[in-house]
Amino acid sequence: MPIEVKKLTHVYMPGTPFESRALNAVSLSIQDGEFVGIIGHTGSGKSTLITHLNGLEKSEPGVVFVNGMDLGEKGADLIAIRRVVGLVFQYPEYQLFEETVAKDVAFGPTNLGLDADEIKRRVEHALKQVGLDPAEVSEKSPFELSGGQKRRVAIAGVLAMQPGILILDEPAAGLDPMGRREMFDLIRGIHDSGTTVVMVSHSMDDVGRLCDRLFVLNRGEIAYTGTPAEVFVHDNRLHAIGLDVPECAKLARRLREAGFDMPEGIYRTEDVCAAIIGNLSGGK
Amino acid sequence: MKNTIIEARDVCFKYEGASTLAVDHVTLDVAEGEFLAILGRNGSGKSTFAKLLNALQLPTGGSVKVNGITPANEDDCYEVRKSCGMVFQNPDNQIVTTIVEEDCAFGLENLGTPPQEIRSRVDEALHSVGMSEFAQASPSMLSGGQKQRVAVAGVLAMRPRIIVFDESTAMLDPIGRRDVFALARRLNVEEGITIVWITHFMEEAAMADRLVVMDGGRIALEGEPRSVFAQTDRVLKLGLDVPEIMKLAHMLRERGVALPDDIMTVNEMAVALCQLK
Repeated sequence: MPIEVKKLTHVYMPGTPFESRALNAVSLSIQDGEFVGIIGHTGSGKSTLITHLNGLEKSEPGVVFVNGMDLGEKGADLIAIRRVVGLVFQYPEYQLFEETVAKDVAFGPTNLGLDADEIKRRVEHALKQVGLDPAEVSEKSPFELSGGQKRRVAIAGVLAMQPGILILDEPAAGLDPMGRREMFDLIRGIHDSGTTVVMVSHSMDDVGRLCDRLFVLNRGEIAYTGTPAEVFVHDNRLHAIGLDVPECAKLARRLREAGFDMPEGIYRTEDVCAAIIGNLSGGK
Repeated sequence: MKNTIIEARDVCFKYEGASTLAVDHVTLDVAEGEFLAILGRNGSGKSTFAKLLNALQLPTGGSVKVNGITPANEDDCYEVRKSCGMVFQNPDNQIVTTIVEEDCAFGLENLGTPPQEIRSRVDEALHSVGMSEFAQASPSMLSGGQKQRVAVAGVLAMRPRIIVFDESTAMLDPIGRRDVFALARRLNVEEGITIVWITHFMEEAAMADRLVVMDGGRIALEGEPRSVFAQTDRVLKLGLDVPEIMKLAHMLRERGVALPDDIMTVNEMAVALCQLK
């Protein structure tokens, strides 16, 4: 099992007036090859949770496990953990720093002590994975690129570590609609090639479209978990904790209340369309 | 007929060393008290256009008249900035002091406003954005949405007639986004401030009085939001999106459901479908 979290609690600035409990006894497990969404509004504990998953924050022993490694254990091999778990922060393009794209992407693998050929191979592969042409961008300064391209380079830097698990914090934040679609296609492609993906978001639309399973965090606890359809059934409660279900899920509820036969938890535009057609032709 | 507060005539702007125009012969009037949304892909020229509205950039061709002034020199620029405030995307880039109320006073202090006047204007502005209780707080302890409200208060203290929001909700969570949009709407309705709202979010654009879609530095589409979004194929082709309900309406129409042309909201769709059943 790649990720297992057992009753994880995290308190920021304990013993000060600013003490706050970011996570409260959170337990979850994520299987190999899953595409999981973690959703919650600001301050719900999402970011704290993911920093525990690659050992940036340290827990007690026996709480966070990745591929059987106990991240809280004294002397845990953090390098090994970060080879397994790649973490892409929000606005990762702000972390670019090298003279050229190739050097920036090579930074991680170089620190792993790999030989030059292997590094070159990985850099090219990672750039292709994010939809950039190595021949075209490798020798450019990352700062010459557009915002969306910069973000791709930053993600390539994480992919060059060849992690089995990729965690992304709001990967589409600030992108325009086309940029968002391209980013999600890219992430879907990475998942399809066998990587376990954990995506943090506050957009129900996005996680609903992409993820197999969702964890909804509220005030440091898991409020709901399940497939998107199972989670969207709780639309009223979700609204109360600052999250919105997709528009089509709202419409489905309205129609159900008006006597339409609409399956519970239905939310995809295509599915809602089909259900409406079924109702309209059935009634005649 | 309302007064025109912004008059852009054949406006062009070219960045130094660039081969193409970032803003390419744009002609646009904004009426006093209007809530205008501008949509467009990254690089479509909408942020450059915004900077021309408060004289952060001066046009390289054509003219922009704001509140009666066509800036020709530095003094004019200051006058334009007094009447046209701007709120940017990243809340952390526009807060300059360590205490909320000092941040709001920053612009006024630079204009040499008397201290008592600053006091009353800052109090009024913070009250207006619902941040009075945070007057003494440090901006670092605020959420993104709260920081943007402080930024709006700083602009309001200057008593502008126009506020340009340049993707001011892009970095906020859904609650912060709703808050800041609602604030802009309220300032528009209650105080008559003209709003130019630049965004990537279709749901926000859908709530404006009028919508302009920019592409390659030009105005590609313009009109009431629902009539613009009703051109679903065009909008998608421009790399944008339409509200999900309009997409659904499009799908249903393709499958022979006779829906009115301009359905945009959950409510409108529910009502229309119930009539068909």
